[in-house]
Amino acid sequence: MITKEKTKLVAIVDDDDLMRSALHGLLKSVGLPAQTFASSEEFLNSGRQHQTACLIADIRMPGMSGLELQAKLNADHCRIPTIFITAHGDEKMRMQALRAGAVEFMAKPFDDEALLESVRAALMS
Amino acid sequence: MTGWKVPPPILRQVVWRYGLAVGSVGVALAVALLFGRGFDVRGALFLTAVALTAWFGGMIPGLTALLLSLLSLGYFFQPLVPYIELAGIHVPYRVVSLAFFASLALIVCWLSASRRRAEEGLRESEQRWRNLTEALPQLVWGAGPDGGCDYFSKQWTNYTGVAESDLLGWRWMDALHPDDREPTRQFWIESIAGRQLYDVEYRIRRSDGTYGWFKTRGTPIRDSEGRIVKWFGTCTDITDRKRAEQALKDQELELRQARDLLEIKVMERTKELQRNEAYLEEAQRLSHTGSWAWNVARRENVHWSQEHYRLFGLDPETDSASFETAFQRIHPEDRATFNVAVERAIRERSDFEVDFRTVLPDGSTKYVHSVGHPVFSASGELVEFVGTGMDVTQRRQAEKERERLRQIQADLAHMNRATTMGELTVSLAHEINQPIAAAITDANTCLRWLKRDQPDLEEAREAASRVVKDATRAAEIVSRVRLLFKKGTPQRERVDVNDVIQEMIVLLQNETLRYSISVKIELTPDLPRIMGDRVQLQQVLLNLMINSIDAMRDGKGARELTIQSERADDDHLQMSVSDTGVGLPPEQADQIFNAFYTTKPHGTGMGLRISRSIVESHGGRLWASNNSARGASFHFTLPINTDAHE
Repeated sequence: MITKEKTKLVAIVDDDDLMRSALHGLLKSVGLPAQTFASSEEFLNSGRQHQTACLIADIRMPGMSGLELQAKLNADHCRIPTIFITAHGDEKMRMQALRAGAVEFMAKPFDDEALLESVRAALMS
Repeated sequence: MTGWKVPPPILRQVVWRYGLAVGSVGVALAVALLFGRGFDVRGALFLTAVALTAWFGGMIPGLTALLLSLLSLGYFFQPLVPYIELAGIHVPYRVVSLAFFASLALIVCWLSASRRRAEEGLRESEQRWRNLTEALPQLVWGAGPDGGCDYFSKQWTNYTGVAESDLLGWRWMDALHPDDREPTRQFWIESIAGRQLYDVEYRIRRSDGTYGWFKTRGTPIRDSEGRIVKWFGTCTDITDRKRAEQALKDQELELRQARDLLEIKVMERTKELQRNEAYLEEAQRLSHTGSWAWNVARRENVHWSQEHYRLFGLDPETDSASFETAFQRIHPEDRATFNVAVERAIRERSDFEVDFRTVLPDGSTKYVHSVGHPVFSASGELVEFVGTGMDVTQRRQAEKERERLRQIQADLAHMNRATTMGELTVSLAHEINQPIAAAITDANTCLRWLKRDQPDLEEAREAASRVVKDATRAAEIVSRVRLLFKKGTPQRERVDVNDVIQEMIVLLQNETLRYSISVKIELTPDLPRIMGDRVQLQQVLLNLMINSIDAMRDGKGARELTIQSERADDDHLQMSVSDTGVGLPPEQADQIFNAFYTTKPHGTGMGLRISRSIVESHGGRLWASNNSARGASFHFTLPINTDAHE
């Protein structure tokens, strides 16, 4: 196991500004640094994916959706443990996401403790 | 000159004539023998002279001849013997023979003269007869008892141009009209047989070939035994009378025909009038208008048309149309108004107009609009009012109906909005979810900051203010949506269509995101505001945009929702909502606007119908067309009311 000095960055990708600040605030309260991105494209273009230890992403977004982002990251061999939080969610989507390697799939509004648990778990792996 | 004589009784005549011959010759013989044998011709000669004179000359000349004969005989001739013995007395022969001659001559003279006189008298009589028959206008004829005619007056010849001799016997029939010959013959035969009076009418041919009508009467002359021995008759020219008769008959016929024609004309006219009356009644019935006339002095109805009866629920056949009866049928609440109107019209001698309700015996109500004109006499007195009463119940009801309809339309639109919004509930829920989820997270974060052993109030405060922001966002969404739920009566205000379009785009952003639809906006800036109901216009755009989204959501390929606004012409704005979806069903471009047309499994099918009725109530048009490439476009126009101020 090559231990790279990985910054434990949590990336938040959501087009809703209020959601971004809420998640950022929440992670900050438990001492987890997070960076927010308004879209999948912004995230990919930032280059930060390689430093991302955990990704919290919305599914429905203009442009590239959360699932598409996941597929893209997988294709780029950039496996990041991903937690999906979404307002729209059905069983089919959940299965699809989990099969593609998502750590968790949560519906909004979510329980904050549950989210933090999943983040911690993702960071551990 | 034959035929006019009446033959005396035959047998007596015969006895008398032949008796006379025998007697007179006997006497002559006796006397001659007395005077001796050897007859003397001298006396006979002078006798002949006397006779001739008396015959041809008359009585006086005869006597003169006698005297002269006597003188001659006495002077020139010697007596045969000087004396003759007559009962012992010697009488000179001359005296005796002259005396004898004188007496003989006298007799002869007298006989001849009277015979002549008789002849003359006969001739005179015949002349008189002739004059008479020729003076008469009638044609005179005579016939024997066998029926053969033996006399025709000169008039016959004058008239027919045929000589008397050619008419005699039965030949006169040829002068008759061929059609009259046989009937006349039959009649004549019956008459001469004594079975009937001879009274016929027939036509005689005139010398110029024309025919004249003659009335013929024949009188039989009977002998002492009653047998008919002779016929006399007259033919009277009745041509004129006949003609007059015919003319009269013709006239009578003409009159009768004229009368019949007149009768027919009158009947036709009556029928026409009745028909017109029926048309009038029908027209009144169809238009629910009745006519009336009301006498002012007597305060009583003088005329009511059938329809007017019906306005009051009265039967024209059985009920009376008295003012009182009618008044009773007026709705109690309207009676005062009615009276006021009547009195005013009378007082001001002006037109009469009033609205009232009538209550029919079955309880139903009619609305009546009554108008009338005053009618004045020649002296300017107000005599009566003449007018019409119109049943305006239907109009009132129609107005009420329209109001109800408008309200139903508003209700329906509201329902549609609600249903549409119902469709949006899911996306609405999602949309609201975001700020609420964020609020929960931020609130929990705030709590975390506060639960620390060393609470970070600054962070807590930040988190709390984020909560406020989140909740506010949620409220905004709710209020934006609530407007669409508001049920109200249609409002008219100045609306900027671009604003409304923008609002709807925002409202549906969740939907467009969800289905990955890109929204293209091509709005012409600074478009004039239109006069309309904001909520209803929002509904139209909402409906169209949702339809476009639905058309694209399950499809492949690019999903583009394009919304345009522009100024179509001086008076209209045009908006378009286009998609790249499944497009319109072929040949049914207009059917989609029908009520209950839907392709959605749970669609109501009312969306487009209501949208179109909203657009049309604004004075615009809504229509759809397929795009040349892909999908459909919905266009609608709205008029710019340039008269109202902004």
